[in-house]
Amino acid sequence: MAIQIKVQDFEGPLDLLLFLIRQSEVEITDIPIASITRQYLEALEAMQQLDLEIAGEFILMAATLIQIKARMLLPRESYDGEEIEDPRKELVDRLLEYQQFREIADTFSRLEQEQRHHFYRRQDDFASVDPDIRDLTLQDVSLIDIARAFGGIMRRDTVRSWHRLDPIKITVEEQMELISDRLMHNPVISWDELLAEQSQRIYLVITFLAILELMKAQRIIVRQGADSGRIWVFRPDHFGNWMQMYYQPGV
Amino acid sequence: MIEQKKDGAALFEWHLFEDYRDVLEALIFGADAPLSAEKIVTALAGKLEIAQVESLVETLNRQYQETGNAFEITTVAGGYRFRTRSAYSPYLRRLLKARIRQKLSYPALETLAVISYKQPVTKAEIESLRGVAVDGSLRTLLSRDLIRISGRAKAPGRPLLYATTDSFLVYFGIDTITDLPQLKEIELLLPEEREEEATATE
Repeated sequence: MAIQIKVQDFEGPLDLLLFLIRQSEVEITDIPIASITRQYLEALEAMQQLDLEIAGEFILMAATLIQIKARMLLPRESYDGEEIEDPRKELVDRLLEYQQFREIADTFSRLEQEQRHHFYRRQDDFASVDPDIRDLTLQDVSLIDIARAFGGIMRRDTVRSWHRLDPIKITVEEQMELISDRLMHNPVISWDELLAEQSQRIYLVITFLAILELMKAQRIIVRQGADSGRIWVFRPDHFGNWMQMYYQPGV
Repeated sequence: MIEQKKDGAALFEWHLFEDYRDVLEALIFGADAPLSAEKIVTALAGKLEIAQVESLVETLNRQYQETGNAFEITTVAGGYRFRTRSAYSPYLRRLLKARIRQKLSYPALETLAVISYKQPVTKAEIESLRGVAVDGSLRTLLSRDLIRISGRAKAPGRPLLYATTDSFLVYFGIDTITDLPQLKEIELLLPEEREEEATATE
């Protein structure tokens, strides 16, 4: 039987396999492995004829199928009469699990379509105005937020990349102390402010490392405004006060 | 004073609705993030119970529908928010053209499906479940803030772990992660089992 499929439509080997099983109208738990393997290999051949680059995972699946087919030829019982597990079981389990995730992806796709027709009132209308810190909804800062923020600073035009070699005048430890001192005077400092003062890349890096070290030692708390995306550095004792202020409306 | 009900179930009380509907509207309208029933109770200094708030919001929504209001209250990411009804979508889509984002691709949706049920999960686990490389979809999902890096696994090489974000809930209009449709073979996903796996590999 000639295969009438558009190979480029398949997300991966599991997807292709599910399609072949459905097309053959067989039970997923009782796959006729010889015929499915043949159809799978024919599909790969069709891909090759179309000059599509076949991803390694398709070939790996072909190997798996052939291995299962070979194991199907062996007797089902071992020497001592114990029954050997169906060689197809592992693949069947994977297919069943994959099928469920496909269904979830379909559900998500439906939800996405539905949500596209609803509009929420934007709640960051004032993001461009310097925000009063008490009005921000803060969230935990993830690794990627920090990497993004640091990347942003490093790309700034104002950062000069000089090639003169100056001795580095400050260590990470000293910079940590400087940041701590500043927080004693001013319990909340914006991330941009801390880094913006640094004109040379090496000092940016030292300041960044100092912030990370302070976070790790829990000597500072770093949070990001959910709406504005700005990152704030808090003195831990002040952070508690801030939380109280925020969580008691009207204070 | 409100009559305390031992079983916690608040029957609908019309006088409460009359007294508080405007306050509820003001709170939900003015909040800068999805507003939970708990926070409403706090803002009302405990004058209502959570179950009462929930029942009043339900009534409010019913009334909006009956009177043909343009917006409604929905529960998303753990709190209430106002949103427009879908009937107004054509107008709003024209108005807000610039910020309407492309739909997610099917591979991205599939990757997100795996992450939402298996989180926190490594790239290798996602790839073995989907049977394909997922670097591209992970990048897309990270940049659209639908997933985040939640830490590192205790496995060799300390691979990064991925989890969904609150924006994910908002994007699909899901209230909490537990509202996701249940998998048929739910035993595969029980947290105890995952912990067992984790200790077994240590």
